[in-house]
Amino acid sequence: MMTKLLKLRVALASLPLFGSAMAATSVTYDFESSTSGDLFEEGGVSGWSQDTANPTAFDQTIPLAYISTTNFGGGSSNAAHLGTQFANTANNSDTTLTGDLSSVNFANYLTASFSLAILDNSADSFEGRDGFSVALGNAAGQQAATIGFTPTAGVNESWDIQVGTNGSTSTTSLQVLGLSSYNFKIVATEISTSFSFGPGDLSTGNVGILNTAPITSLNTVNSIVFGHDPLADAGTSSNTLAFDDINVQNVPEPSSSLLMVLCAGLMAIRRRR
Amino acid sequence: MKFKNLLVPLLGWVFLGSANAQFIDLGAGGVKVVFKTVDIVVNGITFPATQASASVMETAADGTITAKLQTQVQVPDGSGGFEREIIQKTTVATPDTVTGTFDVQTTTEVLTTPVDTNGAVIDATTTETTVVDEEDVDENALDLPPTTSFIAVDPELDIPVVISAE
Repeated sequence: MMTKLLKLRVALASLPLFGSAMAATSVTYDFESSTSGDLFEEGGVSGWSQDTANPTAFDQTIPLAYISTTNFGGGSSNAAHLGTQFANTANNSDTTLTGDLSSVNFANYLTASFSLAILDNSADSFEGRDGFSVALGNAAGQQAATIGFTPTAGVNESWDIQVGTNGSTSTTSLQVLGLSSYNFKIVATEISTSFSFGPGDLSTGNVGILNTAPITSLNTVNSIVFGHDPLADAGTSSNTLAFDDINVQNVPEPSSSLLMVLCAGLMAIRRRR
Repeated sequence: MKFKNLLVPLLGWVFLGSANAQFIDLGAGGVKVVFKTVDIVVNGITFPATQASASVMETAADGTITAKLQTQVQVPDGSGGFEREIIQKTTVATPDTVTGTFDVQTTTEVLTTPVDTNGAVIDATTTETTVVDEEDVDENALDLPPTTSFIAVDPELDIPVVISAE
């Protein structure tokens, strides 16, 4: 079994802010050190774990999650894939892939972004459709922030978006289309959590989905979890969640940084007067 | 990059294990293995078991239809052990251009292998083959298995226009 180490970049940088040095740490998963065909099961992709065993039949292992090439708009590259394209679980159990973020200490801020697409050929004989989710997980094994995707009723090529924090989600009026490339971003502070999304090639900026309550105990976030929820009867779907270019960091958004620098400048001017 | 260039590395993977000629070539791409929980009756006792199945169908230029269905299930053998049973069923339906009906030959091979509780092989496989011929079968009565083939999606994703809900 080929097992290639995934390029896990833990970038450490110092960012001067307010005259003091504030350490900034981030985790990036771009899967470029993997090989197309690598499996997530049993540590096949470094930094990741898969909770459900791949099924076997006819002396072969048939994957629920694997690396394959996809073009999110910036050119073809390796990306993670999770779902029922090649196999399903007999009991329709969920499958989750968990990416390790424990090297980052999220004290007051968290910014997470990633490319995402739901792959489904609505013309094939597998008419069932499944749900998917992306969550920031915490040390207690709970979902600190969640983006959910459930099939839009009556529209075969569309999934409704739900977002929320601390284990609950709210339905939004927004959808993603199948076979389309998106960029999602979560910005969490001590005050609120904002969710936004835009085209995967970043040709336009993201638009807001919803602002929600802050994440409780932001400093306990330690993972990013991609989940497949087989809503259709066993074996009747062929849906895949593709994702790539995951970046999670503990530095404020540029706009937030700018605001803080501005405030610091105003305070300095006031003190001088 | 063209999709056909991607298909080989995509599917070259994993279909790990036996290098023997496959009844259905899962590594060739486009075939999904469907897993279901089924009830198996052995000596009058019902056992839940996981059944895997894959099927393909081809129609030749002369109208001959070839359908292949492969299933696998592991069940108690009724005497304290377990058996892995693989059924390979090939149906060849040859059209009669005069009557519009089909001559159908169905070949079924049942491969039974004693295994332990983990599915590891502990004894030799036995094979039982049956062949059934039928003539003048209407197209609607062919009873071919539903295919588990799928159409691979294009990895070149669309770029959507994202509009705010506000």
